[in-house]
Amino acid sequence: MTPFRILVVDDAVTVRAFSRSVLEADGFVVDEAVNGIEGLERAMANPPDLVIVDVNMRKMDGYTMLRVLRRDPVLRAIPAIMISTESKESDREQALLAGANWYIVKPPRPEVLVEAARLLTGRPLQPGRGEGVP
Amino acid sequence: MSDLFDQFITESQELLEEAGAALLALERDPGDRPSVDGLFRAFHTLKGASALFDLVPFTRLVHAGEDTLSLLRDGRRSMTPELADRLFRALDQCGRWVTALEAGGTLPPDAPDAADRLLRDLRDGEGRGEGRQAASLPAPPGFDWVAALDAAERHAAGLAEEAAVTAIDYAPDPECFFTGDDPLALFRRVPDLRLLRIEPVEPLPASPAQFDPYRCVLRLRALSGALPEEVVPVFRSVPDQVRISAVTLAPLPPERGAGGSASAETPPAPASLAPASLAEAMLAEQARILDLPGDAAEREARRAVVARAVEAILAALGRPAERPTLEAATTDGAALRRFLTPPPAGGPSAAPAERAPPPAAMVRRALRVEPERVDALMTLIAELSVAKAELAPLQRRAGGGDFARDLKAVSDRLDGLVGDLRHAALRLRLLPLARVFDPLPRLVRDTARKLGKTVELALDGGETEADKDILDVLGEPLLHLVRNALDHGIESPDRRTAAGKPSTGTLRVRALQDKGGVVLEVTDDGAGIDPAAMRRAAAAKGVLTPEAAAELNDADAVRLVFAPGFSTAAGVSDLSGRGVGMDAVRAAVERAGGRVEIASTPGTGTTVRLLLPLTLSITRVLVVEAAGSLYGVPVAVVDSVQRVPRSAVRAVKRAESLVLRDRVVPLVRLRRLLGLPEEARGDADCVVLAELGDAPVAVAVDDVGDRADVVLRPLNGVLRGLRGYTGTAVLGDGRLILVLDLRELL
Repeated sequence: MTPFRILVVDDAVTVRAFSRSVLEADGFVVDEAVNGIEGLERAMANPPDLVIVDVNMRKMDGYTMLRVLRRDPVLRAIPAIMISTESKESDREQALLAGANWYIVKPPRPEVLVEAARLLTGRPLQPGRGEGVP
Repeated sequence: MSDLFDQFITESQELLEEAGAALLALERDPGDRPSVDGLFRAFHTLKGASALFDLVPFTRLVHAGEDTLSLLRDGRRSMTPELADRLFRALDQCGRWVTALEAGGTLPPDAPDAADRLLRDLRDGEGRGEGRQAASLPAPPGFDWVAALDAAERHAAGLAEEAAVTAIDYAPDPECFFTGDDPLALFRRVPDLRLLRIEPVEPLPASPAQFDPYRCVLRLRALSGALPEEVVPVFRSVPDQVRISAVTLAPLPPERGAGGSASAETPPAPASLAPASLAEAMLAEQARILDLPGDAAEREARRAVVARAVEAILAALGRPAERPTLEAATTDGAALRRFLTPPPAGGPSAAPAERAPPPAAMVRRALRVEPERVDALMTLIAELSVAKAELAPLQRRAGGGDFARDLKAVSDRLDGLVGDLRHAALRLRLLPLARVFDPLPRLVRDTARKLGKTVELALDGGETEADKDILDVLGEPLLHLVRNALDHGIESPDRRTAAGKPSTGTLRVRALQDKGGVVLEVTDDGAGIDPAAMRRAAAAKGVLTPEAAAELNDADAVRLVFAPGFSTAAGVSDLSGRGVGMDAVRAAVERAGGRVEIASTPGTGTTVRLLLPLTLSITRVLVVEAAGSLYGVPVAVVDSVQRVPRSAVRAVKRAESLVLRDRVVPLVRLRRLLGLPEEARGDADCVVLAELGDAPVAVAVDDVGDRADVVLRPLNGVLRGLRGYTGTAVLGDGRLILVLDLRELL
């Protein structure tokens, strides 16, 4: 079975490294991009199963990237998580309006990131984590 | 009062605050979509919440606000300062109502009139017929009969013209007579009932013998001139059998047959319950995404991605779903919610009306405690510190030896614990200063608009905390200072431009913690205060002799704005200075044991700093003695304590003075101030040097004791109103002291 691919778009190298290590440890294949434009290029070249995107990035921010993604006939159905330092409801809504399916406040806890990634890619949750949901 | 009502009050206050902030943002940037949405949501939630409590005028007003916002949102009305004013007036009214509801549980008797007035006010700005554009929307499903009403029926109902009405469709449960419902009686209670139609649901049996009089086989439809939220409460006992909707009737003559059309409310997103897991939260969010505003392409893309996301989440949970089922379930949020939580079988076949949501789950992280309880705790802790202080004299009596040492160890430990306890309890009362900042954006906006100035407000340090009492003290003076800065400090745009400044003035309000107290700073980049003009004004007003005025240095001249009687509006506006109520500001701050500082540079701006203690509930006093009685002097005003030889005191008639640090300081005797008998004095005086505002005063006392933390109790009973004292307090050894208000005494 081909492993699930996740594209992490963030201009902070630490965040990318963090996400990569956490997600790879859980068996995902991780691709990286440093801004929205690069993120779109990567996604077009090799469509991932999930996009995890930061808000504030130079050249193209996460909102714009998601809006473009949602207009692309091939890529528009790729689930996306937006990740940001802002915890306000308005920021969350902003993210959803732009096209995110889920919003995570930075810094994410590793197990939350993994669980969210598994849910949005359709990978069965490991026993004992999130199991027993009706 | 019920918990739900309390929650409504709290939520309303928060929503009104949010709405105010959103409106400010929106006025600044009319294209600010999140603010439009936020404001709309606030009105919408208030509408739904208030409808739970039969607060008809409140509900009507916020409903009108919601309507206005939806026009704004659809671009059918545009944001202007006038519209902002109207919306602010509506929000202000709601705020006053919430205050009244909190205090008395009911709306004031004039509420319906006020609501009418503000409703008209909100609608005034609408273009002709603009507000009723909704007339082009299709009737909500099930209300086609309204459009199909014939002219005769319309005339009979007095509804020939275009009209906004409430349509009611009630299909009583056939067994309703056994459950105590009386359908017709319910309609008698509908306000402004215009039309009532009663029809059999199924063909009536041909023979009366077959007719079962105990079954209700009727359907009742009606129109009311009242608003839906006035009608809904009538049918509160049968929500599952009735559908109620706002419907707009088109005028009769031009469009016969096409009939009326209706505006239905957007189905609100149901309040989400606390999700049990990340997966549930995520699924709920997907439903919400489907309800987000957007154009057709955006919504189509959202449907696609939500379908895929839901498919993935369900697969991850081990509950895979068929793709076609999912496609069907993701047409809108409600459909997805139904798909995710199938209704229990055997439910009523008639779909219940979409109604306003219950107030969103009001989960707060903060623990809400009534202030009285915290006060009671503070009083106990204060008593505890007083009781603890009784150990000190015991220790002295114990002399030396093991017992004294052990006692001291216990006493020290107790000291530490009581100190920690007091600190912890004080923190309970601490609130962020953001609270006193809250009214500022609005105040600055309104005032600047009135004055024709443009002002940028910068707030800083809102997270700084201070005791609730201190916040209460700070509120008014802060408003004064801000108003003054806008009125007298910041210049009009053309004057600013002429002076080479940016046309927009800047007002900075900053809070910080400093040396166990809080500092609040109000800085403007306005015209500043001219010390020369202040000297002239002081002399002209007779506040100072011309000679004394001329002697003042610049800083002291500027400080004159705080002198009582100096600051009348007319006198100070001429100087482009400030002064309205500045002595009141100073008085309020000093009453709270704080002080005021000012610094100003002509042409550049002015900074006023308020320095306040962290709390008012515990006062540190210096214990002094006069004629055998003990008194307390708040340490905040005490500069130092000194022994002054008689030879240093100069007497001119009965007025005495002495020279301290190169300043001539008046000397007053506490015995004389309090009307106590005076005694022959020794060769030195014990003097407390007090700083009262501008000038130091030396107060001669018989003896000076320790400093003590006391809980000040206001004067009560026969002592109430006695001038010269701030209150009484009990010392650690149980002795009672009167705490002096030196400013009032002198």
